[in-house]
Amino acid sequence: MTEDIYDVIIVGGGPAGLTAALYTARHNHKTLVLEGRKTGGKALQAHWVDNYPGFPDGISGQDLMENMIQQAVRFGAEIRNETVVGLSDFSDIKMVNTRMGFYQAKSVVVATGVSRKSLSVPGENEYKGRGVSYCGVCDGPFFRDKTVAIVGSGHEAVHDIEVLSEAAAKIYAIPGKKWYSEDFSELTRIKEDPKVEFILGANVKEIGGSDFVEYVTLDGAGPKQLSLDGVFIILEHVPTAGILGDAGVSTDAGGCIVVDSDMETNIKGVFAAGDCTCEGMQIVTAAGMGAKAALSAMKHVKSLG
Amino acid sequence: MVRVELFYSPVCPHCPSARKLVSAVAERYCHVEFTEVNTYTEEGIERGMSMHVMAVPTVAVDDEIRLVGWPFEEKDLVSLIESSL
Repeated sequence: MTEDIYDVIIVGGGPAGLTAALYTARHNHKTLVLEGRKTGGKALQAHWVDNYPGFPDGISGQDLMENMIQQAVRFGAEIRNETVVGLSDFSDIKMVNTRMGFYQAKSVVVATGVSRKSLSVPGENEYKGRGVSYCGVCDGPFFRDKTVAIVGSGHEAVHDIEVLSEAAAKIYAIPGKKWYSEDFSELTRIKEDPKVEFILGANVKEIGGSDFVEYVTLDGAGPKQLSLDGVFIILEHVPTAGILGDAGVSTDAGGCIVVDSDMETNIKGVFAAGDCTCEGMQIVTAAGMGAKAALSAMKHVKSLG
Repeated sequence: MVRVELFYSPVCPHCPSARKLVSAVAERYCHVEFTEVNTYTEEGIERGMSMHVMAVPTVAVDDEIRLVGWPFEEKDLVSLIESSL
């Protein structure tokens, strides 16, 4: 906790947040980045990045983000691993609350990214790593000759069905109450795969077992229970913008933060950038939005005198 | 001697971070035998399945699964190792 007033507090330490920090710190603005998890964001998970300009041979997500951290810190940005739990607007001063205390700033850039939606059913947390997985490509080999379910209706779910059919003996494909979100090309192949059985019009209600996953229960008109060894939860990504509720920052129906052409939210002095705005969803677009939000934030700070 | 095994997959997006952390921590201890197990090899998947590993990254200490998934903290790993020494 500090009583110093920062020029800019950036909530989130991914590509958008670190780029914003680079810009504001480089312009001698007192800058604090607050990141509750590992600094670098979802980009850290990218095994290899081939489409970020300036790296002709590509670069790992981890190395790219470490470079971004070093670059922001070189110009004086302060990074603290604290989870932000609230944001309050007191006109010219914004207060950012973390689990450790509070910080004050003249402007705030929200760059909280996205997180994968969880199924939020009994058993999901209990069986993580014991049959519940979130990555078919990563964990598929452990389910050789076993029975699994893949829950989700997006492209990643369809892709993982195809990947898992190489190892698993039987796959239940559970898209939810609706059919898959688009007519993905892989669906044609999957429909002809004898290992794949589609369970339509049903949601998973519970994941159960003993030491490891043994079954799921379902609602809907079809089967009420499926015996299996693994459940792959491959749902879509959703914006991580939960801290904004009390501050009154506007989001759309999907939870995406609404910004204007200057990346400013409906609250003066509060800006947003990167995936939490649901625009671009690329490292390079997040970085670009972070730079733009930083320029706008500095203009706002200057206007306060 | 404490045996630390990290089960990883070359296609797992979380694994590079886990490998970096676990290898850095393991290097600090002369009584730690650190092994990386690639689960995209036949030997690796057999070793993993024999221990009921079902996800990567997974850290096992002396044949017992102790950490599953990412992220985990350096202090958790240090605590596991030191309690086994």
